[in-house]
Parts: sequence; C-alpha cells; structure tokens
Amino acid sequence: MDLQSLLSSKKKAILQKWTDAVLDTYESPGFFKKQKDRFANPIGATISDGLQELYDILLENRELDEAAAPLESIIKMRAVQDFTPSRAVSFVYQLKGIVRQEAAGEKNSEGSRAGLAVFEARLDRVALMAFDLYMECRERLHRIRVNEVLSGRSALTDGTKCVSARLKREQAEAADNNQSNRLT
Amino acid sequence: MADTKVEQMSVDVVRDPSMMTGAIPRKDWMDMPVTFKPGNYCYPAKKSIVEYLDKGLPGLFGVPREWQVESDDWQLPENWVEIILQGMRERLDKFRSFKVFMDICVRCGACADKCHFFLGTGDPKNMPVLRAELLRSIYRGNFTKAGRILGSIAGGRPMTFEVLKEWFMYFYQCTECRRCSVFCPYGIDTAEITMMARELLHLVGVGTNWILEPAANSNRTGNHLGLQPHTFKQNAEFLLDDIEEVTGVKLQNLTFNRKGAEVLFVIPSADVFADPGIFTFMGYLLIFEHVGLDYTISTYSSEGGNFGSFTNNELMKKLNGKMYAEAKRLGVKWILGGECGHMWRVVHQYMETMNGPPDNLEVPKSPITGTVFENAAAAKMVHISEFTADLIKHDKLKIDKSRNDHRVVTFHDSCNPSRGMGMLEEPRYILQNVCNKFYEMPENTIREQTFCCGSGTGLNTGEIMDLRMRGGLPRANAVKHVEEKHGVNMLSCICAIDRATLLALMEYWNPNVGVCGISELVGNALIMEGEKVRDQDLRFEELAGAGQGEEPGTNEEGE
Ligand code: SF4
Ligand code: SF4
Repeated sequence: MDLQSLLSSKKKAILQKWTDAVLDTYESPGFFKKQKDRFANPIGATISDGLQELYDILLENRELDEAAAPLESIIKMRAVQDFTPSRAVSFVYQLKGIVRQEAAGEKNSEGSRAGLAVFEARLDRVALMAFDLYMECRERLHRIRVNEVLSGRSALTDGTKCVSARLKREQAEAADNNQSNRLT
Repeated sequence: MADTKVEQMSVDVVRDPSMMTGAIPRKDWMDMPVTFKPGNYCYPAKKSIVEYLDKGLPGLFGVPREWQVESDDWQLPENWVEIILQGMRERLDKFRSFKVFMDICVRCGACADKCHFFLGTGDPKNMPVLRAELLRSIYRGNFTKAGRILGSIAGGRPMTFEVLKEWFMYFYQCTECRRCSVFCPYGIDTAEITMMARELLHLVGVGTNWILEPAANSNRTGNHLGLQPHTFKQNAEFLLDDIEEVTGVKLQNLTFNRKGAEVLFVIPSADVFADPGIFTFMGYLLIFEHVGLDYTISTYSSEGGNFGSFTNNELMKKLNGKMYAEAKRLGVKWILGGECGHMWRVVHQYMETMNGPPDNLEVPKSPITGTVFENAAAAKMVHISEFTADLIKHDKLKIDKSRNDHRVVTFHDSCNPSRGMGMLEEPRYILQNVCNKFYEMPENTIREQTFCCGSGTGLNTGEIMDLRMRGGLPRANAVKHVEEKHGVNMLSCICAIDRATLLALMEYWNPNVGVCGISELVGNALIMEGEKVRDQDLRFEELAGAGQGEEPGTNEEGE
C-alpha cells in the first residue's frame, strides 16, 4: 500500500493515537479525552479539531500555508501553559513516530517507504511553522503586558500613569522647558 | 461517615477513572511538590505596604518584611505554624460555614471539572475538590480525632512549609468565582474556603502586592489607584469635554461631595481612569443627565471595588464602611452603584450585617419612575443595571438603537453580579433595548454557569499573564464561537475588573473583539436633549451608516 492510502485507510486510528499522545502531555488528561462538549472542555476540543485539520492538510497534499490556522489554535494554548518551548511544539513530531510505526507494521512496507520521506519533509516544515507561531504568541503576550501597563489598567504602583503624578511631572517638565528656553 | 472514603481519597480523587474527571495523575497529589518560577506566582507585598496596613489592623497581615517567593526561606516568624493553627481554630468557631464546608464534602467529584483553572491547565490541584483538600487535610490532621490519630490514612497531614507553599500557589489560582459551587450537591462554596486560606496566609505575612497595595490605597485615599480628590474630580471632568464633543451637549449635573443630593453614586475608580471604563462612565453620566437624577459622587468613597475582600473580613469591612459613612456625611437618601464586580459581592452578601443597618438611609425609590427597590431594602444600595432597566421598562429613555449597529455584542456574566447576586436578566434586558445585534454565548458558559475572566480576586497582575491566559481560556473559547458564528466584535460586561482583564484576554485569544460596559452602549443610544447629529460613538468611532441616518430630533422638548 502506498503511504497515501495508508494514511487515509488508517486515518481514524492514527488520529486517535496522535490526539491521545498530545493530551497525555497534560497532568490529568483523562477528562480532556472524555468530555465531548467543546465548551466544557476547550483544551480537548481545540486539540482534537486542530490535529484533525492538520492531518487532512497533510493527507490531501494541500498547501502548507493552510496549516497555519489549525496550528495556531493549538500553539496559542500551549504557549501559555506550563511547557518548555520544545514540549509546547513537540506534538508535531509525535505524528512522525506514529505514522512510521503504522507503515512498518504493514506487510509490504516497501510501498509506503517512498512516500514517507515526502510526508516527513512536509511535516518538518509544519514543525518549523510551529516554532514561528510559538514565538509570535510569546511576543503577543509580552505586548499585552506592556499595553496593560501603558493603558493605565495596571497603573497603581509605579506612578507612570497616575494622573496626579503625570500632572506633576508635566508641570515640572514645562517649568524645565521654560527654564531652558530662557537660558538659550 | 465520610471517613470510610477518606483512606482512599488522597489518591482516588484524581486517579479513579470512574470519577467525572477520569484524571490519572502520576503520583499521589500530596506528594507533588510545588515549584515557583517566574510567571506562576504574584509578587509579594512590599514591606512598607504591610507596615501601613499593620498600623490600622495590627497582626492581621503578619510581620512586615521583604521576602522572595522562590526562596526556601520566607522569613516566617518562628511560631508560624502555631499562628496558622490558632487562626484556623478561631475561624472554625467564628464562621459556621467554614466548619461545615470542612466536614461535609463527600468527594463526589461533581465540582472537579468545573473550574476554569483546571480546564485551562489540566493541573489536578486546580480541581475545586482538591483545592479545598489542601486546607481540609490540615483541618483533619489537627482538628479531628481520626486525623490526629491516623494522620494521612484519615486524609490528614501536619502543617509544613511545603503545605504553605501549596496554599500560596493554589489559593492564588482560585478567583473565588463560585462556579464549582453551582454543581456541588451540598452547596460547598470553595470560594469561601479560598477566602479562609487567604486570611490564614495573611496572618503569617504571606500576601501579594497587587492586592495589598490597592487595598492600602483604598484605605488612604478612597480608591485603589491612590488618586487624590482633586485628581479624581479633574479626571472625571475631562470626560465631560469628550461627551460634549461627541454629543454636542455640555452636561450640567455632575457634582462631587455635594451635601443634600438624593443619591450617592459609587463607582469602580477605574471607570474615571482607564480605557475602556471611561466610556462606561460617560454612559452613566448621560443616563443621569437624561432623566435629571439628583446625584453626587464622593471623592472619599471613590472606589466600589473592595480589595479588602481578597484579604480578610476586617479589611473588607473597613473599606466597605466608607460607603455608608459618606452616605451619612452627605445626607443622601440611598446609594446607587456602578458596573463593578466584587463591590457587589460584598454589598449583596456582607454589607448589611457588616456595617449596617444604615439607619440614616431610606429604602431606595427611583425618583423618576417611583419604583421602590424592595430587593435593596436592607443594604439601601441599587445596581445601575437595575436602575437603567427600570427606566427603560417605564419608557423614560429615548433610545436610538441603530447607533450601536456597528457593534455585534455578546454578554459576559461577571461572576460576582451573576452568581454572587443573581443579576442575570437586567443587563440582558438593557442590551436588547439598546442594540440590534446581541447574541448569547453557549448556554453552559453564561448565567449561573458563566466562566470567569480568569483574573479576578486580585489576580489581574502582569507578572502572571500566562496564568491569566490559561484561566481565561474557557471564557475566550466561548467568545471565539460567537465571533465565528455571528461576527461578534464586542464583549460587554458589568464589572470593572472584567473590563480590564477581558481586554488582555481578547487581545490574546480573539484580537478582533473589543470590551465594553453596558452603560457605554446605553450612552451611545441615548437621544439627548439638544444634541447634535451623532456620527460618532463615545469612543469617537464612526457609527454604522453615519451621515445618512434620520435626524435624531424626535426630542419633544427640542425646538
Ligand atoms: S471558586 Fe472558581 S476559581 Fe475557585 S475553585 Fe471554584 S471554580 Fe475554581
Ligand atoms: S461537588 Fe461538593 S461534595 Fe462533591 S467533591 Fe465537590 S465540594 Fe465535595
């Protein structure tokens, strides 16, 4: 069987393994695997939907640009959870192992071997996209922190946004300017 | 009775797949140590702040000192274990609910998967039942016979530094939102257990700066930002200019500290200060001017939010007391409160017994509609949404709904007004009357079952942004759904902390969705006497179809 047919005939089993493997990176994954209501279980739903979409893109040989959206939905979550960067994105690679295993288990694995190299090359590109997305998420998070300080929503301890402190500073600056204007 | 289960409890509660959670942890939870690292804890309170609070309420905030959360030496007093146990003993005597909650949990697990922190992290100690167990195990180990004799076999354990660390970690990963309590067949309120744990932590000087500094500010100047009266007034008045620019109307009725006003209006101070609360504030003022309410704002009771409620009963009481004191000083008849969250939890649940009854106040009666707010007969304080909904019901507001047509709105039930005080219908009634495009989020994420913003109870601080994003995931996930399905671009709410925290949450998860208070939308829609052609909303953003609408001159009194 060529790899394409293998990926398509074993889709359900492979996806299940992949999803379980990713959910197993959480400390108590049982609930995430079981609860089917997507609003009661956002992690479980986001991961299983995202992985399925990614799998379809790989299976149907679609443009890899399309992988950005499902990838982002998962990475966005893992980027703020308690994972190291490598663990946060490692789920992409987990598919490699699973597919290899499935391919090796075939009676005539010759057929799928050729396809495997291409498949893995594509998967590597997805993994690289995942790194970029991870960084983007972290940067977004830092921007939000800065925005929060600047907007005054967090203004209380440092006085940067305290209106009276600002007024005083502005008055002082104005006085300074007058002073220096006079000197020049 | 429950003790037959206790033996297995420490493992079962997370291991047994027949539990609703199906969770399978790697180890017994009692053996999983906590590790603090940047991003997972709040900064400890500054020494100067604790010194200040200690002057007013000696002993309740521990010994003022500098300490590091990541260090293994928190500079605790030598007898800290004794202080905690003594504190626990006193509270078990004083608060019956605390004792009951310690005794009656049957570990059915119904609450386990209901907490947004569990749903966003997968950390079993964020299951409400285990969160409570962190404290309950100490209760058992020290205050029950079985626990004292059998120790961990009976689910008890001694108070150690490791336990203290656990408390600091997990009772600051609970926003006291009470979602779990909705599902508990015994009505156990984990939020109250968290309150007790935080009281105990404060006794040994373990508190966060983000909570204690605003609390100290509120005590000193009347609001959490530490704004002084003139600044507070000045800022509010700046907003009058903005209102004039948008509507063409110069409002006349805003006053401060005016004796003899009929109504004292108390707001969360962020509403005069921070975006997007300022637009909500503009909405309040437009409503009051529209109906000619005789109101005043106090610059001393200039904070609805009660940061004391995140520390202990005493500070909560002290900060809350300012409202009645100001109401008395100014001689008003009743108090109206703005769109605030925990202010309402305190007002609704504790104010009347803590600082009341306020003998100088009357049962609130709307001077415009004549409605008597019987529900507020005890505390004498009415919520702005009740007030506005009543005005709409009696047809006292002239409204042009289409002015919110550029907004596709959904509504987030903030935990305190919704679960805390049962205010579910009024905000929705208002929304249905002031905008054409209002869509609800899924049923199991709103009303009593609403998901917390993830940053309440003093967790809205920058250093734990990651944690806030995890905790807010279930809420954001529901917003995403209505954004995709209906094109929702505005998340409305009636809580000042939410207006701040949801903004950060949306920026991360759903960047195309803005955040607003309900009164802002009312302000947009109100047809003011003598107004100009309105082509912008209160944010100076273009209205939908601006320039081609009909004249807003349906105004009876207009020339
Ligand atoms: S009160 Fe809210 S945050 Fe605290 S344990 Fe219950 S659901 Fe979680
Ligand atoms: S739902 Fe109530 S009784 Fe059941 S485990 Fe939770 S707190 Fe205990």
